[in-house]
Amino acid sequence: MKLARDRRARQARRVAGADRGEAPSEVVLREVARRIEDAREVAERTALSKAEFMANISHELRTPLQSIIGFAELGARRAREQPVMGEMFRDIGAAGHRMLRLVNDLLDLARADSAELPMNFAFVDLRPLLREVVAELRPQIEARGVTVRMPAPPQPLTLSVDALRMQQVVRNVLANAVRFSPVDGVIDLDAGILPDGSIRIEVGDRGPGIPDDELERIFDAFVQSTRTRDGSGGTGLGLAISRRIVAAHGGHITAAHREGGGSVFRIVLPGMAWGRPPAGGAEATDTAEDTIDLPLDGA
Amino acid sequence: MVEDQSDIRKLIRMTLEFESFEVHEAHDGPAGVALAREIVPDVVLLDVMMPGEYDGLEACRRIKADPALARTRVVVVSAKGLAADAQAGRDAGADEYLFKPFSPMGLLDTVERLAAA
Repeated sequence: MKLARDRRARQARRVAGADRGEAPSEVVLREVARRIEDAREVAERTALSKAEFMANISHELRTPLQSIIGFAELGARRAREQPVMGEMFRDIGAAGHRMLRLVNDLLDLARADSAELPMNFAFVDLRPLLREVVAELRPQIEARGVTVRMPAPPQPLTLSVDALRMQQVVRNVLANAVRFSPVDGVIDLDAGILPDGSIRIEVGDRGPGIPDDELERIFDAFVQSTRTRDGSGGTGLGLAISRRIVAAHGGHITAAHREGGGSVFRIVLPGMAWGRPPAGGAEATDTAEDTIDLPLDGA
Repeated sequence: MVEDQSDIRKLIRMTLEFESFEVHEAHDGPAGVALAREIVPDVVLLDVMMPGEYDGLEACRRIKADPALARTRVVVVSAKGLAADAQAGRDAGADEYLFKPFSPMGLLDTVERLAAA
């Protein structure tokens, strides 16, 4: 105790003002205030440079990942006659790809947080955009044995979006639905125009559902629902990034319970004057006749 | 192949030599341009970010500006996975642009296609 007290006394004498006859408490308070100010400046600088820092880290991590992913692929190819060896190489490659997704997601998240996520807005019809995402995920959809039902919205869903980023959002949500669907499950990917002209995209699954207290938290970075946290390849960042991307479009994304079990993710994007349904018209929703089952070949 | 990182050089060399390509190496832009002028290769693989007098994009411009290398195809390989960087590669005259981490089989396909052209 005595030693600690002596050290504090020496520190107090060293700080500016100790020799000017001020009470030690004032001197200490001023020192504390100065340190808080220093810490605040450091924090501000840190926030500003976070995206830049992440860009550098991302580059530094990609370089070794090139060796890991590259040699794993080359090794798997050379080990075609040795199935066990081949499997080991494929496992290394899969882990490398998972790490790459994490690196890419972290970079996106840091950029989104500092409003540096590059966005290229252009007018597009969301219908082909959605079909492209489904086509892209077809290997996972088929491997899981699920069916994605996507009704054909009768009118164009045209609005100004960053098409690649919006596909990233739909891909994240749809990939989650595929991953957590029961085998032979059905996923509904539905889009239409709301009465106020907003465009909605909904992905409904018949998975385990999301507990009430997690419906919001799953949009936080690194949070995965307790019912689906199974190490099945998700980075825990997809929904956090999706929410930021949708917000950058002036819209919002939410999760809810699906009637009859499962979850439904709803994306609402502010619409355009000419995207409105006819006066007095309800939501331009789809009838059973419009519903077509995938694959959407030739669509 | 012009690449400053030894493990990536090894990866590219093994990928291509397994398929009977003859591979020559340089470690920076100026050495890469000098090597290209000496051996007149079918294809040059150029890393973008390398230490030295100039980077891969400038090396690409110099190779493309050399009439003696008119038949040499250039693939620019970069760790910056942005569309703007791909455009910078095309502006420098590159025939193809690959992002790191690239798939060795994808690289092989690209090189085979360019070498056959």
